[in-house]
Amino acid sequence: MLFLIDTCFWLHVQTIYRDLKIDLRILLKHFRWGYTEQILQEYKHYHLQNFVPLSDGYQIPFSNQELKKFQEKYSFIREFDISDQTLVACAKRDSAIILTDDGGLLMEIQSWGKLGFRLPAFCLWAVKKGLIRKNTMIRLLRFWENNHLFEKREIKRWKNELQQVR
Amino acid sequence: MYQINFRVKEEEKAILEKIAKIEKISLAELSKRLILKELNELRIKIAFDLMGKGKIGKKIAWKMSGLSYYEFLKKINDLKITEKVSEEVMEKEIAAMNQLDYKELLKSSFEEIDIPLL
Repeated sequence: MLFLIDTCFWLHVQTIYRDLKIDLRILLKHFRWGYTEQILQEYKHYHLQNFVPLSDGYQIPFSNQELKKFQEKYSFIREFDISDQTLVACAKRDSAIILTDDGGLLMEIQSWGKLGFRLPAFCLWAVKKGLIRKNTMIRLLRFWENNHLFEKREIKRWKNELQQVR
Repeated sequence: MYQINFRVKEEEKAILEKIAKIEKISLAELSKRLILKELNELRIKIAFDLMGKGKIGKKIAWKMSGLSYYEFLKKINDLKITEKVSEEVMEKEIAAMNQLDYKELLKSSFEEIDIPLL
């Protein structure tokens, strides 16, 4: 099992690092995580190759032919861009968990019965497992709340979850 | 590269020519700059409108806006418009949190780690 990480997720991690000096790469490097060739192209397009520790991740083979077959079978997948299409296809093919900053992609993943997390849920998961301190999560939630990056009800729900962590 | 042609009235052309002369650019260059400026504002407005109404997700809105992701997140704060994610999706995400053991995902080189990491 491994995480497949989309471009927005990394860009959000980069924003957190830039604004809060919290480096979530320290956490991510401990896990098996991967990307497809198409995702790699997108990382490069958005100049992420110097931020994303590519040598820590695995490049998952996924050919254009496989993508074409997948698109033919599931035409609605074309609503997503090519890189996200490969993530959905890989999550379906391999037992992978998607890390994304996009609610639309998360919903799609869930509809396939697969697991996915946005950054707050991923961090909360890490707090529950003792990998991140509660205080770090409080700082993150404050950042998301102050910057209106998620809806109030979501922040409230995550705060409630955090309160249950001893 | 593509070419776009459009018609303007004589007095509009005269104004454009005057401004182009002051700016020391060609009439075509001035017209292009004005259109792109307007387009940049319009695409941000449409992207946020659609995301706020729950018609598109964050990534599509970001790409549509033409902003960098950092600028896009700042714009979310300025406009106080963010992505709509249903209660059901959020609850499923939280349920997933509780069923996933991190040890299944650790690299073999990190079987023993000193926690917390952050």
